[in-house]
Amino acid sequence: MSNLDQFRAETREWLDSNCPASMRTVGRREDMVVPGRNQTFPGEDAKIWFERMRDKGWTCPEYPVEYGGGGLDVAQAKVLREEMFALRCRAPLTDIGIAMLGPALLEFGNDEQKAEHIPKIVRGEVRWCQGYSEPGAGSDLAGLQCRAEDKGDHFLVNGTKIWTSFATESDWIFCLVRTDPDVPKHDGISFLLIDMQTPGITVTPIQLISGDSEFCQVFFEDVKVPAGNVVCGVNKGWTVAKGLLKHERKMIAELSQDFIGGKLSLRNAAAEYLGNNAEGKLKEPGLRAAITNHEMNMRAIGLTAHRSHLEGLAGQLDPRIPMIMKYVSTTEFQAKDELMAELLGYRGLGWGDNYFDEEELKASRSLMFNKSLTIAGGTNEVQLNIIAKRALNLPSH
Amino acid sequence: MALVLTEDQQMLKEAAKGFISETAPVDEFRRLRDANEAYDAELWQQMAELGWSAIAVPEAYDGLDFGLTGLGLIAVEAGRQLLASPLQTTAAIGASALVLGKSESARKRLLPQIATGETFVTLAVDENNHHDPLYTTAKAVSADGGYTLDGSKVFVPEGNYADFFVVVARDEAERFVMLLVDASAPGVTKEAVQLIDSRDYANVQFSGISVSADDVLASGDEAEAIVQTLVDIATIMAACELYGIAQKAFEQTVQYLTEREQFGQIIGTFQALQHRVAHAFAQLQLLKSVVLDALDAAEKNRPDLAMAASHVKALANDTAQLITNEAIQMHGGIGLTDELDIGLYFKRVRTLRNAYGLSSYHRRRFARLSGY
Repeated sequence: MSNLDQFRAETREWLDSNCPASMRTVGRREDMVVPGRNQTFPGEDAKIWFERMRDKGWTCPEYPVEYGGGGLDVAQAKVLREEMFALRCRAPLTDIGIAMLGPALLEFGNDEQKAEHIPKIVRGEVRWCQGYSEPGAGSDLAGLQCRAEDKGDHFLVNGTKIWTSFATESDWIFCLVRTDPDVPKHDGISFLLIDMQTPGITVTPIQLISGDSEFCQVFFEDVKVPAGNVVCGVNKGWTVAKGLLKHERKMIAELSQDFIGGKLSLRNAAAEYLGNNAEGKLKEPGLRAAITNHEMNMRAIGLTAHRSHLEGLAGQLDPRIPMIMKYVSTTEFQAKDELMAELLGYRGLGWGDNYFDEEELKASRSLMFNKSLTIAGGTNEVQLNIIAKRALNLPSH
Repeated sequence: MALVLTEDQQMLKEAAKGFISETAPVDEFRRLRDANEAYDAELWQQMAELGWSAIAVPEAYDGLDFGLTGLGLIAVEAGRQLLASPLQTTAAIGASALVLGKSESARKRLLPQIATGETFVTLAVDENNHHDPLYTTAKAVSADGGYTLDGSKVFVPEGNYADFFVVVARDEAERFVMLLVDASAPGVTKEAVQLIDSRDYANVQFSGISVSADDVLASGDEAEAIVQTLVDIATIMAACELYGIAQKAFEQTVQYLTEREQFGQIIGTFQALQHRVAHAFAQLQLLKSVVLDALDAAEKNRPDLAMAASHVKALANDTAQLITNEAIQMHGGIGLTDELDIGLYFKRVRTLRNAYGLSSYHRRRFARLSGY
């Protein structure tokens, strides 16, 4: 037996005997483990599963062992993913620290930064939020104005960040700040790690049309940040940002795929709310075709994500595929919301909870909240610009 | 799922790309069209010598048994250069009909000849303006252990020069049968039909044809599944060709956007055009994944073959239509001239969309297979 086969056998056995049965079902948004100072678990099984995986370093299987990660190589990590998929084990913790900041720190951070922050990310002891957009810098992210003045041993930060997810509950924020206003805009940006407890920081949640308010605005007023918290050097922040943005887009694309197929699938909703004809087919042929179209598109997106994954493992990654994934999956996820709204009619527009069941309320909230998917992390228009420029080499003005 | 090609498959793809683009580029198709020829016999012999006609033939019948993915990859390259040949009809679909069929005698007689490229076999299934095997009315009445066949088939590809037809019909109990019919048998009459793509199509009439037991490829309760599998393979091959055409039309259009100047600028700098080609590119990449998956389903005769076939055909139809329409629009008036290849891609896409089912047909079928 090869080493990899042996690893697979051991992994399968370990997962099978350590993953509680309730963690082998598709998780919903509210089933997620929340990391950080407010670390909470949706249930005892989630806690057990998280702790067992954490102790093996498998919350972050490919992170180095010295920082608490699993130290797996690419092939082993693939085996672990496959075996988790085969047993339908949930990810023990999904978090932007793991998916976005961790990989960026491993690539661009210095030894002190890695030693301080990565073990906490792996153990789910810190919750990070992302300070990128500003009121005047959305799609034009590099036009950001939040100032960080170099005061020798510290930076003095003044300005504001907006659309910061879960800032009220986060422990730390990673920010793009302007450290030099007198050079071309991409060249005067730094990547700064800031403790949210630092005096001078205030956070205001933003109420959205969906009623959610996970997006916040963060205000900085004379906030002192130690000089050692700059990642990759002063004015080198755009390099880090670009590296990290790729991880963010991947995460949003994957998130859009993961939440497909809740209890209320389109076909079930269609049968339940509109009914079948005598042949057992959905009554409304137009909607039937639209549902089929959506299911075909989701299948194509899933196959493409899988193809890209396999190409990566075979050392034949087509770098253009990640550029399209956020665009196609967020577009399709919204198409699903729109279809669901049509199938449910008034019942898909519920706000008060006295007349509607949980799934119906979720449909109406998703319809509104998921409009953010094609805006956050680079709008679809920006994604198309990137495809045109980098995948198709079309010239700019 | 084999979404990444094996080394052997990759080599075959490169070889096919090189051979077809050098030996049979689009200009060769123009020559055939202007000379009113269906295919180039010498070129086909060269393709056979490369082993392409033997790919789907098992080794026991002098074939290579390389798998349908290989043929699909060649069909993609054939699509790119609009190569007109019996490759899809005979080497992929004809050979599969015999392999899937239950007549050992027919296999022994024909498969070795298909492998060498000397015999042409084509599937005759459609009877209407739209593909749908359920509407088969050709009648096969039991006689002498075989059948007597009556009926007519339309838009049979390569039907004017095929040596044999694989005919889908119904028996007295309305069950499917699949019969091998010699094109030169008494009672077979053919009429050539010209479509916009300048390929070979025939409407074929079968009148009182005696089919011996040896030429019954499928009958009884198992026939429907065999017919379905064969049609699924044909469907996937058409999708491969569409994918190839879409690729080429797309590449040529992006190239044009970097050359053409208006208002003192390269038109490729215009965001209105950039976003449309970027969208088309995303669709093309999705199609690639679905094509590779469908070929794998065909090669391994996976249980979800029907679903994979309907998926890939609907997506290939729509993507190739989107891209060839956009190609004309972005080229402007020149895109409508016969001089440019863009119009030839457009015409072939339009007939291939109908081959083995339009998107609406495959959406209906996908929904039915999904149980709603």
